[in-house]
Amino acid sequence: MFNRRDLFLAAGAAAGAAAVLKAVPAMAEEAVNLPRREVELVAPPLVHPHEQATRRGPEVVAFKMTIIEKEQVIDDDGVKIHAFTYNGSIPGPLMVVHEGDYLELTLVNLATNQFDHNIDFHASTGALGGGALTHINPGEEVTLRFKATRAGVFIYHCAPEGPMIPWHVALGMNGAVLVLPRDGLTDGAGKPLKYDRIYYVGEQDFYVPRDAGGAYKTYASAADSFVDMTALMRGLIPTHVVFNGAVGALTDKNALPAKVGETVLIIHSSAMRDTRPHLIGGHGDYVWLMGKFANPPMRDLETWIVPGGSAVAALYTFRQPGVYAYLNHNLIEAVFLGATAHFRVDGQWNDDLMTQVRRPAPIG
Amino acid sequence: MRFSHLGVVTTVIAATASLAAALAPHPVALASAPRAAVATLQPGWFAYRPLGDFESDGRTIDAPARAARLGAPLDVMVEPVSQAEYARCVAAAACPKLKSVDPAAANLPVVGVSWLDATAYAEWYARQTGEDWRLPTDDEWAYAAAERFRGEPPPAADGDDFARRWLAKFDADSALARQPKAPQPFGHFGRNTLGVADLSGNVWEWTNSCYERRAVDANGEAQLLTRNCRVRALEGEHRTFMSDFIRDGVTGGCSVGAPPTNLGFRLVRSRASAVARMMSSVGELLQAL
Repeated sequence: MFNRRDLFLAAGAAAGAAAVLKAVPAMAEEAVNLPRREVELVAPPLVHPHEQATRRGPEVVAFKMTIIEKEQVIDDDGVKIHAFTYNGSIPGPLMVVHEGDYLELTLVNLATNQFDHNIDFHASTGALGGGALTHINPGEEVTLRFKATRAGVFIYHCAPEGPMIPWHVALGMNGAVLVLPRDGLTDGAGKPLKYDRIYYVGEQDFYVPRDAGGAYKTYASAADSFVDMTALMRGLIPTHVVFNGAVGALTDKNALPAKVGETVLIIHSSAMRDTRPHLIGGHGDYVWLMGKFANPPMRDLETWIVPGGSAVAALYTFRQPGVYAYLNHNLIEAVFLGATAHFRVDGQWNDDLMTQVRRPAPIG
Repeated sequence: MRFSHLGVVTTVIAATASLAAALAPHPVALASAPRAAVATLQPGWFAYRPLGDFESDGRTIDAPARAARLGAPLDVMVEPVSQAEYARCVAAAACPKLKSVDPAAANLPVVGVSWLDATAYAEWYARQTGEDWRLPTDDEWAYAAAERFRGEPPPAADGDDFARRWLAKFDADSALARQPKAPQPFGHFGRNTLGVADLSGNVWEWTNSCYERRAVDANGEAQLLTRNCRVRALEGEHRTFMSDFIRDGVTGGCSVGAPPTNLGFRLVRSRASAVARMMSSVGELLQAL
């Protein structure tokens, strides 16, 4: 059985391993001479300001993220977990760079935190995605730089040791990086594709243990929940599947705004489980299945797949006003477990696209 | 069957309930069970937008504002039915056993009940007391709620534009100040001017009124088009509709639209005789003023 003391021992061993790996020769000194730009991150579903296409040459884009362990309410019943977060949000913030840029991250592990953490960037090359070079104990910080060699949308997540890996990710430690082609997005045949808005939706599975009476259990600390929660995780059936950290985080008054005629890029990540986004009443005009921009986007999709451990980009131009539910089209997960968002779209109704020919009326 | 006046509909429902009570087995006194506190509502006029979907000339319109009248005194339970009260019905094998019910909770409203559960309780309670207890109709509930009545806010936007009406409703639902789900002790949400407690708090209350479509004709009369009694109106912080077997509105609702936080109920009892009720009862509606 894992108690908190064991966890700290594991943390010490991990930090030692990281120190050995620091001996890796540094071959990317090229980056030192490049222009350096610091970018402030914003919490999802919003994304920090960025150019879609850029005329600038490669540069070092520097971000800073603070790991915050905190209690978080995850549904309308007030169920709480001791969440592990990058920068306080689930998912962590979306970081946008261009292909050929160097992404530089300073990762801070607050002294008030209880656990060691790190970060594995799927967009990066080597050292377990940077995980082996970023292990930090509470009260430490570390800076990692990697070259964004492939255009696409990629997840990042915490990957400490052994059972800590799925547990940290299931408590919220995941996010995404958007590496745009320097010339921006295209349809794969040379036609540029631009967006008016970008939203980042992170799908998260939670596993909250219940007591004998069926009520969700609360724990004094994250460590106290470890044994029960990982036992539940082994059954592979989440108690909650939510967008952006909690049931209702993107619905009703938190609906994502848009207007008729606007094009929206939806980034959808899922760190562990496969999912299948669908926009009720709309489509995916262009969807980069598997999320990598060197491949041409697919057109006119009704539902698309996001394999666990990846992120996907979907582009859609709204043509009708109203409310759209954007959800995981396993409707059981969408309705009962929470994986639903709303778009609230203003504009003029188009009768040509749809009209109610005859109102509901008695038969006959 | 078509009804030109909502009030007639209401009267028929009330009469049906009274008939059921009359045919019930011989009443047995409630053994040592405390009787629910009751507020008696006196006859009077009130402003009321009837429930359901309305159309005129083939267009969706807001429900017409009417002056409605409570025609005879009506007793209403001051508090919703408690968990302990519901548990007595379960113990009598007259109501379904529910996980959400604590038999010791005499000061907490029963929640997690469907319309079918609430109706079973009403029928059992009427038999036990020998009195005509039943769920209120939507207009009776509105009268009892008085200044706490919210109903459906009429869409503020252009009535012809389907999407604008839809978005206005979405915005109104989204703006509701949602209360935490845990049932609160009686009195937590206060009493209204008629002495009725805990209206429009975090418990939505079942009514006997069915989902309806009506068309307003040239004379301004709301003609019934269709009625679906598998779907009943709930009143509380807003008016909503649920299938009669649903116990949890949050997971029983739709993908768009504010769900009720908890489902509970209280009962009413008409004071006039059945014959008098047939003649003059709740919802004796006049034309729009």
